[in-house]
Amino acid sequence: MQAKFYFLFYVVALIAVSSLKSYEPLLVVLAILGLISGKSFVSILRRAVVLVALFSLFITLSYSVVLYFQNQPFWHYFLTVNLRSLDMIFLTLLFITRVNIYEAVSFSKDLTFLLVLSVSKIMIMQRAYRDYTDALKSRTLKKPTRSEIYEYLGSAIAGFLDKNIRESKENFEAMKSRGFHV
Amino acid sequence: MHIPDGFLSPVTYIPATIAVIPLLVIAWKKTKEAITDESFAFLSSLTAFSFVIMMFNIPIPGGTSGHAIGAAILAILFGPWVGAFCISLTLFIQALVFGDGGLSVFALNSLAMGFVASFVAFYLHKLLDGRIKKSVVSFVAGWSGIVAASAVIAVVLGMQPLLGIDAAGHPIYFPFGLNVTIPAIVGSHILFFGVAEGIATMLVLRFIEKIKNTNSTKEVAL
Repeated sequence: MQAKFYFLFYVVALIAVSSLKSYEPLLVVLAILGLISGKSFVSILRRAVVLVALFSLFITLSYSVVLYFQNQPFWHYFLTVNLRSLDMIFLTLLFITRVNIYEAVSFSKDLTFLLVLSVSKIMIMQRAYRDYTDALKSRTLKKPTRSEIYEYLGSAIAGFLDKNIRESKENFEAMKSRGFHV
Repeated sequence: MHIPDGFLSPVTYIPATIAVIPLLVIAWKKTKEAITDESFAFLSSLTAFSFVIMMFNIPIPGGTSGHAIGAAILAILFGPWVGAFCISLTLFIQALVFGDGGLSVFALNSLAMGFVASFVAFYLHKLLDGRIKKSVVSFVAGWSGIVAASAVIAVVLGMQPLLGIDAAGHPIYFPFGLNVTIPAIVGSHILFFGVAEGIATMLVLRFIEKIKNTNSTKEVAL
């Protein structure tokens, strides 16, 4: 129940932050988030900055350059958009580190179960993908040609699809044997 | 193509969220009908697949590379509702479990990369199948799905300067208009990311066709 309340609070806070149109209140929001995050402030901030830099900085910098050459003030735009993006990402990261997301979306039993199952499978697949690429790298002596790369990609992606579907049948049997019925 | 939090005004993402919820409910129901009692295990597998396909870097002629999202593969193999649902679930997991993307942009990303890409790819594949070479059909379906999705994203982003401005009349969300977003976003998807999706769709469908044809006695899951 508490997780659901936090989820609702997170959604309302996200809408409120996204509605702010000036950097001053966004700085206050960042300070409040910093206080709430406590010791994890630096680690969350670092991750949020990386995520902001990926897209937000690129867009806002290019627009700021346009404004600069038009002799228009650009700081307000630059700070507002990046801080808003940073605040929203920080808020999301804070939420996912503090709240059990599976409990938060447990308003639907089906969705919660699907989410848990999908995330666990994603983690297994991420590991399988890393093992697969490491194995390929260690067995590749010379640089493959483009057609070899395409052939590898086609079989690898189809292989992952095939593996996933085969495993889903096993998972289903396992779930059924443990009394889970859809 | 992922848009991060902070670039869409609330007047954009709130209606988009309201629009996507019933679509996801329909997709969920249609998906459960389509794949019967193995639904949960099967859906989670397809979701994990669409997540993992985004990790494959596909070289594109011209020296660059991109990643596919798998919408066309899932839509052609299992139907557009299944494709749309799995891509949307992947985006939801990326946003709320891995902190990549964002909840405020989830609806638009889901509408574009989930629904538009899946339906365009599925129906184009259906329309062209049997008329031209199979691999060309697969490529065109994958490419078109992503290009159509990018057009939706470009239009919505390009509308932001009209929807969110400060007192001085300056944009405060995504700053560039349609004159920039259409060529930049749609253009890059026509030339690069659509090609990556097209190549991935073509390769996977060709591989599946090959193993079905050459190894008919061996049990194949697909």
